[in-house]
Amino acid sequence: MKRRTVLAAATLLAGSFMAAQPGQAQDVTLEFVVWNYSLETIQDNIRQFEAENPGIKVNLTDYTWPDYQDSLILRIRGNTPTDVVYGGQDWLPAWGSAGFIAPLEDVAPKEEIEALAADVAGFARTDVTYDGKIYGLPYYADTISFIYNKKILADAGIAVPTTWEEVTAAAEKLKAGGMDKPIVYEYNQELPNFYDAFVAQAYGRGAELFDAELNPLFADPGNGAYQQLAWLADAWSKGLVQAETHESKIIPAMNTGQHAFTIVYTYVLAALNNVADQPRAGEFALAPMPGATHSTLGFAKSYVITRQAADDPERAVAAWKLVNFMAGKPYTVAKRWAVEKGLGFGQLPLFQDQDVIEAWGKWADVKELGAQAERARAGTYTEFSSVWSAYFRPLLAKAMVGEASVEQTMKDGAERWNQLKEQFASR
Amino acid sequence: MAGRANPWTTGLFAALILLFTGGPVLLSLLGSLIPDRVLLDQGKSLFAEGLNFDGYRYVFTGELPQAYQAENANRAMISDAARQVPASLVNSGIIALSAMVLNILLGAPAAFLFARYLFPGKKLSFLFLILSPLVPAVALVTPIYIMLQSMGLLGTRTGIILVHTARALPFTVLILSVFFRKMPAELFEAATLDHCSRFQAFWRIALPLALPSIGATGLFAFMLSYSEYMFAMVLSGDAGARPVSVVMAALARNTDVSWSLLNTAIFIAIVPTLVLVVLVWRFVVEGLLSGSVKG
Repeated sequence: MKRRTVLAAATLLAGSFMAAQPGQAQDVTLEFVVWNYSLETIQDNIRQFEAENPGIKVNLTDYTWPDYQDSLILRIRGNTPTDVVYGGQDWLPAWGSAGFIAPLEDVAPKEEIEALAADVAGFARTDVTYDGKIYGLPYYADTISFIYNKKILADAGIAVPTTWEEVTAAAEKLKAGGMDKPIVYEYNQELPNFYDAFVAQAYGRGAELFDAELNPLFADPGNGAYQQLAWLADAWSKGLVQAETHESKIIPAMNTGQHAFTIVYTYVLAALNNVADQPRAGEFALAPMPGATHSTLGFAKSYVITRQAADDPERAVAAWKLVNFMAGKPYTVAKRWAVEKGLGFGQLPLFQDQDVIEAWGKWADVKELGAQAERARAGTYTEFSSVWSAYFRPLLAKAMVGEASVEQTMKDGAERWNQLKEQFASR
Repeated sequence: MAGRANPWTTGLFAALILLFTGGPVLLSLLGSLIPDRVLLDQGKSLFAEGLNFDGYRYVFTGELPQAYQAENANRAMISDAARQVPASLVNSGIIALSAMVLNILLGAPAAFLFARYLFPGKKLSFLFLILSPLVPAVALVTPIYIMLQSMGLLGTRTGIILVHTARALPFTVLILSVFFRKMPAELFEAATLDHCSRFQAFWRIALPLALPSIGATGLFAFMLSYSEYMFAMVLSGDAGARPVSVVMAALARNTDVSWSLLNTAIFIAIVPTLVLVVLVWRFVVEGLLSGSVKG
């Protein structure tokens, strides 16, 4: 009896003591899902975020890049708690229309988002926008570059080409001088890069592939995309092009000194000029994409907030804080990625940052790169564009090597686009 | 009278087999010991700069390879996923061993019952069990994911172990039931006369005789689990439960991983498998063959 009385008193005392404690902020745990690139850096960024934001914890889950989208959709459809995720420009429309993700204005003041978006390169801003609303802030951004070997061109007395016709002339001159295939091309119909590189070249000519109502324009022989496919087929037929199935194979191929030109994502330039592992590091440079406008394709991967998180006020606030920490001013995290890992960025002020200029200056002309980022345009992404791209890439591949006509390829591509557009409009 | 094989032909075939099986292992070992700048330079001999263990040092200690410590080096190619390889090997070992044990514990008695006894629904349930592997794994990912989530097993080794056990169980039951069926019926009749229960007949007579086959099917389950990728990838969540198949896929399928580091990771991942295969493969083959042809 006596023991029971003591226990009851102790319980009461403990209860009143706890009630007397000052109110502590409720801990929020965010689920942050990424593809597994440089996890140690991400973890370190998270540690810094948690230190600056007591009461918010972040659990990190990563998936391999090729399985990322499928795994993420499975998570979201399975209602697995998921708050902030890496998003991609090509997935954004489908995720947005499915209600998987929320516009940032649902979780943060619109003026704050607009102010951040104002610093973002045009193509990257387009890539994080769906249905007129901004859904994310850039994690990293990059453009597709026309890359050449400075030494080879200088030795042969060839000026850096500024049009595709000049590229042909330069390649023919190099071929006549003994270089078998002056151009290396990532030729793989399975890869979205394959289509992206084609669009970048068409943009260089100033081509519009679609009009404002998303009607295809590329089947017109006067369109730059049509002309570029004809150029590719011509270059192939003249034996100027060596096909490689992946950019990772282009890097050693260019480093043999047997090729002078390639068209790849700009981060490949960083790899080509990497003194740690490339024998011809330092010989490679980017030039404006040949063509009338020198524009190119840019893309942005982004930090996106899920609809689940946006619908829960506490998680929404915490999720926005995380996104703002990772991609917002003073762009510390974006700068860290750029300086330490050479990742591109969508935040234009970083092109003026001395640390970035110093780090990137080792492998690229930062001024030229900044100018290219400003000229770059986003791709056209819709709910069905990835389906269409998967259909169109094999057609493109056949036309390049002369197994199909340019006219028929573009006609078939446009027809399929229209079918899908109609199909998705009636959903 | 059987003619003797031509030793030259035998040698040629053996060399070809060795080339295709041992060649990649040797290449990954070489690639792991040679710096990228030599590997990628066609003008240089492979051993121009000697061998180094920088990749191994990075995987086990996190110290950057010397070439990447240079001022102008681009460190983007150093993927820290490579550092997950040792822990993922432990995860794979635990998962595969557990799946093996569960397969034996559940599969052997089930196979014995299917082989030696009649019970209602036997044919139907056996058919269901045996045909279940024909369902494409990809079609099962979503329901299994949702089921494990509702059980709170996502991101745990237990969840992966259960799925791997279920995936291997039909093979275990099929192989062992063939073996149990071929045991002489007289053995079990004598056991019945000696008042053995069904369990005792299984435990005291069938099990000791079937040990080689049980060991072999267990190892088969081990290997299925060790190399499985899709469920492991979807269910493992973070690095804490991630098996080596998922880590290797992350390395091999990402383009921004140094060749030398990739080769290091491949070789580290291969070694335990190689040791295991050398030690037990003969046992597996003999066990499986005895299960299928003994009569």
